Amino acid sequence: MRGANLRRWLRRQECPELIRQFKRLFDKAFSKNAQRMEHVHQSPEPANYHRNSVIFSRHSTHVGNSLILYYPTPSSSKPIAGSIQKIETFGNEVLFSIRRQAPLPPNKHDPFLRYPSYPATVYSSKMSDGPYDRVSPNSVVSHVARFDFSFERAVIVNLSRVST
Amino acid sequence: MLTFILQRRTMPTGSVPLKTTTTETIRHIQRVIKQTKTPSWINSVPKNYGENAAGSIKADEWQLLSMIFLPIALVTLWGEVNGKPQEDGSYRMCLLDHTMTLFQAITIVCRYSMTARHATAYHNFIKQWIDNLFTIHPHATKHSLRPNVHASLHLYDFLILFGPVVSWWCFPFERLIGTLQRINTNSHVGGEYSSFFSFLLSLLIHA
Repeated sequence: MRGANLRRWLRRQECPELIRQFKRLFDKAFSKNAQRMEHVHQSPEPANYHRNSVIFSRHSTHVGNSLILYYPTPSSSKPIAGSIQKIETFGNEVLFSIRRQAPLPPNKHDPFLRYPSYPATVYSSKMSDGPYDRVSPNSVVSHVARFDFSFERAVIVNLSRVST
Repeated sequence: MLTFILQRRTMPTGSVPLKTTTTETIRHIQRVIKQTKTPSWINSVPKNYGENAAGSIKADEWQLLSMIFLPIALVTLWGEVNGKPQEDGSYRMCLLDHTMTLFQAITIVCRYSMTARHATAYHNFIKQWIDNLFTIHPHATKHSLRPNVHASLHLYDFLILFGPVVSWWCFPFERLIGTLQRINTNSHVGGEYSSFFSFLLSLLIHA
């Protein structure tokens, strides 16, 4: 609504030149063309990657945007949880370096197993020490929500509304 | 679950044995809302949930609470004791199982894709929740019946007829109503509506 008022004000003849100049600057910074520019990554290791209006970030930039469910190898049958540590670009190709969430030790209890239609799995709250997985954004299933709770456990909720 | 239900049926309906929600439960839910790491496309919900200052919870916030925050909070609080499974048939476990049937129904019904299998699963969960409602929460019998519960069963038919709820729910219209309500008219009825029309025009341009 405020935007509409501003646009109306800009169309008036008596609109001060100063405001018109501000609009010109604003359009340069936030227009659709400027948003498109973001996809052309200037840095070889950008902080964010946009895909279908969803932002994937590295862990040091935004923890929530870095937590994902993904297939570590093309032959994997089950996606696992991890956190994007680094985003690398090689020309048009993009690769995520992902640190796996450590699996739940067998002696610890997963209270969510009782509810198979609720898409949550309990992992260890620690991250795996193994080498990072390097996968393309196409191997990513969705973002996840993570809550660390008692006995060094973390519940990972799959936020995808389409996967089974 | 079954033993508890049978036990409850022998008791008078007026008696409420245990308090369902305590301050400790609300504090835990608030902690889950504060500490859960979510991506930026998940909207925020009031961090002081359960307090008067949080205001009335809106539909979108209820959806996020029942699909993410409340299941995490309740399962981690009621589903176990000191990291060990909670005893089957205990009051807490029955309460949790009953609440989780509703949350599982919501998770299924809010999917962006729908199959006959999912629609049936939704129907089974919601029916199970309604069947056990008065047994688990006897005080609910004292309230007048609400049409929402009845309507939730009909959602199954609509899922079969029209597909995922996201393609036919009324939230886009609700949002437009909200925007219209927030237009500042300075209590003038009639008068100039050019800003309103320029707003509609901007909607059309951006659509």
